[in-house]
Amino acid sequence: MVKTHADPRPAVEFLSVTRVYGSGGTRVVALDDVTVEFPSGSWTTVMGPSGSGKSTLLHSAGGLEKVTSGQVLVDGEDITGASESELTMLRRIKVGFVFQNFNLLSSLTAEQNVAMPLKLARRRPSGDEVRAVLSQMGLGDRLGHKPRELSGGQQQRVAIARALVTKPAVLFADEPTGALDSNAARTILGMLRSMVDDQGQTIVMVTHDPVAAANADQVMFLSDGRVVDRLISPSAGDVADRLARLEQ
Amino acid sequence: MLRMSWSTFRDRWQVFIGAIVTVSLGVALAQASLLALVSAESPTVPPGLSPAEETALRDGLANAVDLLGIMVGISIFVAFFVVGSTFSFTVAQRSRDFALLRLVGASRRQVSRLLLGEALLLGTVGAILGVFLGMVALRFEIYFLKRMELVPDGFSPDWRMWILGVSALTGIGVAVIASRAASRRASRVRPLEALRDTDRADKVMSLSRWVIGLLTLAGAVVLLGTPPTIEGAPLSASVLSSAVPGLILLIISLSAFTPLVVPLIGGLIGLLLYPLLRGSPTAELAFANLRDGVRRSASTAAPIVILVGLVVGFSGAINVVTAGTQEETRGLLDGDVIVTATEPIGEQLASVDGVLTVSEEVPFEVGIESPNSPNYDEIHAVAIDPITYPKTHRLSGITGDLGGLQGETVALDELYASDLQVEVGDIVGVRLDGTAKSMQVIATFRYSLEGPEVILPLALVPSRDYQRRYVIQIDTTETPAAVSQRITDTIPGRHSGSDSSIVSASALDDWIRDELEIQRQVGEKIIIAVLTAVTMYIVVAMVNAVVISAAPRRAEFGIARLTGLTRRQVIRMALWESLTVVAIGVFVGALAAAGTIAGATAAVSEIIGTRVVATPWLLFGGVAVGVAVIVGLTSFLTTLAATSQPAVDVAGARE
Repeated sequence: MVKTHADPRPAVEFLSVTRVYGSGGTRVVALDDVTVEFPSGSWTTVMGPSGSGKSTLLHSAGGLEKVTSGQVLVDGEDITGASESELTMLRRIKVGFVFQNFNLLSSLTAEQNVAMPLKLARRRPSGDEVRAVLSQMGLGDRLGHKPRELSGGQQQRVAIARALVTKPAVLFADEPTGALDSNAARTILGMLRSMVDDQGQTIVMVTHDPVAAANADQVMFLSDGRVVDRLISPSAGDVADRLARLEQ
Repeated sequence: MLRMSWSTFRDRWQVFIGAIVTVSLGVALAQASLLALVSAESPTVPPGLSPAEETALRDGLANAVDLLGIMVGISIFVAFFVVGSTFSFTVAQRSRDFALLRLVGASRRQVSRLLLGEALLLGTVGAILGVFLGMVALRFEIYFLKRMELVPDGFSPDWRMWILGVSALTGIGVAVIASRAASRRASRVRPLEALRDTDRADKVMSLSRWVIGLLTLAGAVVLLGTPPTIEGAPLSASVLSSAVPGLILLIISLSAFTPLVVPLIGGLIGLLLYPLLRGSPTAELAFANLRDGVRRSASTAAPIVILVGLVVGFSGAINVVTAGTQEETRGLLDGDVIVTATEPIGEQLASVDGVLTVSEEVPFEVGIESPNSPNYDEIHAVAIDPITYPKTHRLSGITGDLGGLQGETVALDELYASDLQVEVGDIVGVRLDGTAKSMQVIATFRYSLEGPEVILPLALVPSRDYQRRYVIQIDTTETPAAVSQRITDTIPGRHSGSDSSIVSASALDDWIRDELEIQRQVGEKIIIAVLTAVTMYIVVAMVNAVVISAAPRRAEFGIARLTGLTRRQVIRMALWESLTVVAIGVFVGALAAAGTIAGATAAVSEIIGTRVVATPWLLFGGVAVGVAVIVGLTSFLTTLAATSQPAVDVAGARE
């Protein structure tokens, strides 16, 4: 069974979602009538061959892209027809993002990067609040460093701290370990795991790496814009097998 | 948000330094010209001057006011233009940062406020530096204007405390207003763009570009298509009063349309050079980069457009006026010999062998009561003999009777008469030598470029001290040279060491040539005075644009080298790009200049009735070559610096 915390409402829900790019000869169906739920307080990994619609799914769930038809619900709220400012509020309060290339603001220190979402939400962040999140990421001694003074793993931990500082309902992670060596990747994945277990954080992650995927509670496989398979409490070997079959 | 602005500022000072330099130079230029202008308008007359010296000082400054007004206008325009294009650069280069901010929850308004904060910071720093630079610039400007004899020697500018406020407002205002378009664009950056490695291929010809381009084009057509009608101003100022704003609007308009021209000219040059460059990978890459980076190319071309447009357009307009005056004078005068003298010698001249007609005229200034202002207009007038003047001058479009110009009467050119709202038979207030008189308008005549606006009878000339001019017709059996010689032989003058009477006597054609040489020199001085400081400013902006546009391309250059290009090839590629951008800028700037020269030509031709052509080809060529050398050299040096690190170190770096 998928582990879920007290809240029975799914963190993210897709109802018959279709996303089409282009038209005529260049028409591409990235998501094809997808209906899925991402349970609250659990970690779901989305996998699939290149062009299967993984990133589109993640971006649509986070309100970064509009869907062509269907409904996307985040924390019970329909974001399909949301205005630009409603989407801004969504990004501010309900969702957090982590990406392969860290995407930190290069001119700000680690502490300033983490405090930024709070400042944008006009919450005067207490230094303790920000430092606590960074310490939790093992970066208590790197507060004043700028991104270029940090290793890749450290930068990604700052990015995760930034995503979590607003206590979002969902954390979206797009290949969070893609640019890291295996040691740094293991640290990051361990941290994500304990966030789910200890704090009931919901995580939706896209990855190519079966080892990374095996940390999740469930793995969802996409192919040609459709959900074609699922694995509960997967092992890296199982994930690799399914993926290999899909890519054949 | 202000702290965020500050830390961005501190981190990216290299990019911002360019913006600060352009703001502070713009403030300095505007401040210096403005201080000179207000000091010239209400001069403090140094103690100990004789009334004559004081009058000379005031007259000299009255002429300088128009010139300084043009300088203030051009300085502020250039400051806006240059700062605006610098800002759009810095914003375009940081769109990924803005997308990131949007990703972590920033609203559109917050992004534009961030940029407003930056603009405030840049504007403040630029204004403070500008105030000090402006003090230096003022000394330089006054020294320069004195050397050019455009302001009298006794002129010294006064410091005004309020200029500090004006400069602060100029700096901050220019920065904030110029950054508005850029910040609107920044706030439209979508969060997803943070995730893309490549720049978005956005639509460069936006709706606002079309609107601004078309509106300013319409304004330019109106300004350049209407003949100048400003009375009481020196000739050049009257044509330039519509040509300069027209030129400025045309430059704005064509700059807005530059993105349309980039692929066009790029393609054309590629086509022309095809036989030479066939198979050259550097050229192929350069033209592909140009097509791909339309915004970058257009922004780098912007200062070139304004430089070529201003220098060639402004000089061209002045050249047209000078050429027009030449044609007009030739058409207006019907005589063979011109004599200038310091006292009346009409009767002596008439008795010289071979002289048939002698027409005496005295140019001087009178005050005319204006219905629009409490002051008298200071007007170019000429006192004449109503019998001989019509014989030696081809005045046209006369209403009324010039022959009746006797006693306290006056004739006006028709445009000025309509300005004053008077007709033949009406009364105007005239101030002569400090005394106000009411005079009847006896005739009106057609407006001419350099001709008098007001004609009075000779008897009204207040003193014998004015210099006089005699237009003389000679017997058909004589030559102008022989008669001139006879005149100087029989009448004492400066040429013979005497301190009075004849100053010069020459054949009409020689006289016109000499007069025009003087005019041409004055025109040249005006061009140099107005444009030297502005040109230096734009050159700084041009270098700035090339440096800023190359700065974020380290990674791209690195990738090109990893693909197999040598460092020399990368430098050559960047040079190709820069020189094509120069061609684009020169082309668009030449269009603006051509429009202005065409407008001035039409205006002048309309006034004088014949077509004049005066295109400053040599100047145009010189400016184009100068720009190519400066931009080429800057491009070479910046690419050299940007490729100094090993390619593999920079290829993966994101910036």
